[in-house]
Amino acid sequence: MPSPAPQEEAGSLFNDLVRADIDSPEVVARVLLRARALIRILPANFGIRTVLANAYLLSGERGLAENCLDGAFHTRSPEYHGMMLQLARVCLALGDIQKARTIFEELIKHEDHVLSNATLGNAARFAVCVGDPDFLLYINSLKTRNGTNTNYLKAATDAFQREGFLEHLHAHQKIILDIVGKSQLWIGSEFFNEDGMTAIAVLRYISHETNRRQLQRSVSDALFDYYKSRGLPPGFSRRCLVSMFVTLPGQTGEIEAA
Amino acid sequence: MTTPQDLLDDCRQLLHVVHSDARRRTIISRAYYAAYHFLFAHPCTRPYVPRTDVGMHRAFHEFLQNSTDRNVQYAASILCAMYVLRIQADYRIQAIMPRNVERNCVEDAAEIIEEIFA
Repeated sequence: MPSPAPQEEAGSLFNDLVRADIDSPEVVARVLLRARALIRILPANFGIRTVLANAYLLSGERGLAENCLDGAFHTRSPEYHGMMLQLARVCLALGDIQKARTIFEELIKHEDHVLSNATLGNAARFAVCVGDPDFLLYINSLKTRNGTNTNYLKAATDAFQREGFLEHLHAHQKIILDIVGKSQLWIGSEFFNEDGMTAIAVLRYISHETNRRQLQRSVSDALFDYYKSRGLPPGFSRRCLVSMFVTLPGQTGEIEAA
Repeated sequence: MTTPQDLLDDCRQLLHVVHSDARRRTIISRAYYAAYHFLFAHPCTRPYVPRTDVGMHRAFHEFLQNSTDRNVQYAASILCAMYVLRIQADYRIQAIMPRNVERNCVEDAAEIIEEIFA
């Protein structure tokens, strides 16, 4: 029977990691070091497995994160709401769409009448990032226990429908995901509402080993061909969705060599 | 007179001095304007007629989305992404501005100014 201390430490590391997110490589490095030690003590602990997978990703170690994913996924429990959401983000970053969707469906079912806007917001963000318009509309139709759904992507979904972009969301994101592939380490998103333009900006963090400029050129050309072939302006999607490719912090940028 | 290249050169110098969140925001904003002014003045974006019904940036971005030139579309996709970051940099100062973004913005502005249309 393990002592409670490592479990408590896992919770503390998780909080540190979530707070650090993408912007504190130093914290991520410290969390990774401790999580690697703790996993030897509690090898089947959902929290530590999730923290470890997450920390590997934020350290640029995608392969090691993939190795941890199945273990974290199979020990998951909807009781641990925050960790479940974070595991879904790990799945999303790794491109394991089915696992991420399963997690959200379980959370929604588990929360039932106490469904939170945190769950709705994360699920909607997932739907946009993977290009799943049906899931996005489903999430937007749900209500929290207060009868609200303040998920900030609802306004963006309305804009997608108004502009005729929703029907292209799936193909658009698939084109990007096919090109980005295993270079992707993390995903962030921003709601953008300026000058009458309502859009989502998706930040895809990639490894410094990837030629970022070549990748974004490939994405631009592929989207150009897609929209042109449908008789739409080549830059049609940018009214609604902007994609950015950013080198993961803590890794060497290309600019130093320039 | 200041040119887009001057703004870009300034960004590069700023990358080499002490970094802070505020400095990163300055670099992102300046890199965006370097790329914006370059494209605005470049023959590849003629004939652009400014509009008054929306803001100047949105009007220019919407004009660019109709171009059938691959290079212009690529530059526009970069410009649009930089614009989102620039809004965050200048107006949402409580939000986290991830590290490295400023370096990526300078690379992107340099690609537009020094490579794509060189």
